[in-house]
Amino acid sequence: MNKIFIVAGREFFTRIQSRTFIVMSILGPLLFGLFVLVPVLMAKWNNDSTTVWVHDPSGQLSDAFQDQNGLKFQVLPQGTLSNGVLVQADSANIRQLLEDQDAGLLHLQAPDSNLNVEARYYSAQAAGLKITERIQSALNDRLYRLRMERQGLDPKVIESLRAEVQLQTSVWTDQGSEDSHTETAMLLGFGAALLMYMFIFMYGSMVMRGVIEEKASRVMELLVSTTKPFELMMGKILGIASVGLFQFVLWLLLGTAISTAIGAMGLGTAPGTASVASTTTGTAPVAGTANSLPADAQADWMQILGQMPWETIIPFFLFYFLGGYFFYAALFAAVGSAVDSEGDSQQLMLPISLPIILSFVASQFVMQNPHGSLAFWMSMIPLTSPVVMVVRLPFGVPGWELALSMFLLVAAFVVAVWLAGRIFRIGVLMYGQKVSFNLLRKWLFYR
Amino acid sequence: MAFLDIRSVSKSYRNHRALLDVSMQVPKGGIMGLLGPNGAGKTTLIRMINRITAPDSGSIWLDGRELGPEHARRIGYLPEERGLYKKMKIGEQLLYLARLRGLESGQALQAAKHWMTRLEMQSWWNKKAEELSKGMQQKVQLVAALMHDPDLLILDEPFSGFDPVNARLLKNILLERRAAGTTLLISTHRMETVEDLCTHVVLIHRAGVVLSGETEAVRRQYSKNRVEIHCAGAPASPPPAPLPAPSSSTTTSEPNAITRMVFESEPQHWPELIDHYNRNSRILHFSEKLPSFQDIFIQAVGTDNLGDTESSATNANPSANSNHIFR
Repeated sequence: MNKIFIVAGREFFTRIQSRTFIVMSILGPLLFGLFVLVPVLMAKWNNDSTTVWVHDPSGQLSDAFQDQNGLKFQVLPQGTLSNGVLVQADSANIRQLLEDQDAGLLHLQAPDSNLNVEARYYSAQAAGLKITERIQSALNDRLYRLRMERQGLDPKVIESLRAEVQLQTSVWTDQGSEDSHTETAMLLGFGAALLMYMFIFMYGSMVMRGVIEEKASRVMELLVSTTKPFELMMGKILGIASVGLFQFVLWLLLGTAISTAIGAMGLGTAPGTASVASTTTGTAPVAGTANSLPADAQADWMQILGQMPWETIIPFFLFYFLGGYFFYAALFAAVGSAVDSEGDSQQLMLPISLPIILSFVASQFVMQNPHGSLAFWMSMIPLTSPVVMVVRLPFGVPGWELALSMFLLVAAFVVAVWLAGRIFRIGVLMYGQKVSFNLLRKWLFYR
Repeated sequence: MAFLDIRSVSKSYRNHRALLDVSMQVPKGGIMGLLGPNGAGKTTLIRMINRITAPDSGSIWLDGRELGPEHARRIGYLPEERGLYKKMKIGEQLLYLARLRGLESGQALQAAKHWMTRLEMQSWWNKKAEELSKGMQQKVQLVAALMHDPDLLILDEPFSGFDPVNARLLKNILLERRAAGTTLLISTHRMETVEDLCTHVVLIHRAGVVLSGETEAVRRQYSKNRVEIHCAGAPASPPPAPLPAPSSSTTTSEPNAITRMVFESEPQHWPELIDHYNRNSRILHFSEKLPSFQDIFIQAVGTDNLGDTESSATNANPSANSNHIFR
């Protein structure tokens, strides 16, 4: 038992001192931050402010437009435009002006008696869909109101007629109904599954590479002469698990620090909402706009998060997280002990990596129907249950299913350790043999 | 009583027999030379003593007790397949290996420093294994085998890869260890090692023991009753019958010529031989010419290879290597 900890200690301390670990610990949150930030920045850059000059001789429509998302509307005074030349701007050519200022010109005819409007948008380059849609919907909205008013409706009444439905979902339980939050649950389940998947692959294959390294460098003979193969294997699995958890904690701390720093710099706001205050350019005095969630929506989200059954999610997540890792790490160790080099491991890794990838892919279908038979069976089979069950957890899983699935995972882990131990014992001292599945079978059942 | 006692140990792999009914004893403080051609089963035997593999039948006893996990503390091992962690610092590797042998961290640190000083490698502590040459790495592994002051030291080809200076250093350390009561088992192909160091020798061939015993006794057993006589001057007349004529004779050039002669002769004729040359010449040197282990090895293994029926392992398959070739 003591030797397990000596082995685990070496794995832990040599690995956290390695250059790759240090680099990854720093790069991890940065990459993750980039991952989150890039789409936000892309959206922001996409919002490069465009100025739209609104030429509205009738003066009835121009106040329909509101600056938003980098689109600025500037109403041109009456009579500034004549024969394609801006009177004000020293007879400047409009085309040249549009190009220089990256602006657009919206020309609105006065509404006719039926409140129909002819509108035309001029720009140096063909206008994008975003701009035309915005202008159209603003115009439609305004004309709709004007027509309602013409029918004698009070503007307040019109406002009150507007309908906005948001579908609420609930779970029917014996105690009555409980609110359910499908989207939050999906997000949570997906995040957890991604974490599982990454952890199993990154650190499970690290176990494998560690065994291959000891085999290839022939340290193994010395190790096996002092330590039982089981102790070696368990020590390695435990040590690398601690490396992984340590790295996750580092990432969490560093990530929090970075996001706080970014928040302080005013680039981002509260975590979970990707929001960027758009900067304003140009000459017109325009108020800064933001596309962040409104404050009350944020509070809502926090409230929904608070309503998630954390007291069941967290302990079971931890169980599947560690259980899944141990189960797969034992299999990875077996593969590592059976081959001479990493190149040879590809063939044998396939039956291990396939179920992980499969369960990750399937988790998207499981999310759509978290209580279907696909979800049920995949959360029972130990090869897929760690990822799939974690996806299902936020949706609520019946107790007996959890119990059975956990029992099966533990049983499978015991079998995997036994199996891996046998392959390990023989495999670690086998050199220069091309290992096939057939040979593995012989090692398993040979006396 | 023997310190290391191997009692009729057998081991088969799936398609070849590695050892068949092998027994040997090494007394406390002895240095056993383990000889045998490639693929004879030496490595299998060494791995069994290190509890890396288990015998199919038979047992191995150390200091009156059957081998168990607790013996890891008392055995030091330099494997033939030398291996270290490439990226790990030498000092840390040594501490790790010593702790796996059962030393406390403090003891391990002290022992590592002691042996690194003794082997003139104090400055290597923070070096990584990949920065060291092969011979240097071997010294590190030697330290790993010595650190916990084992009662039984198993060395597989300890001298290969060492320059003469380091080889002498190693030899001195081994003799010193022996004087301190350590029992040694050295597997080697270098016969000088056997003649230089070993008190006992065992030769394994085709999974079985072909010869074993104390080094001197084995040499006498293979003695061809040859004597060598060096005389001053040109060759004297050969001795009269029944004394044999020299089987070979060479004379160096004048002045101060020396004639070297070899005789195949029963020991009871030796006094007469000496008499004869004392009378006819001046004897500078007289010695019994014992066979070298080179000769003994080739004789023991070579006759067997010719298909001698006294082979103790007639059922053994050809070595694993040939299996691979013909598969």
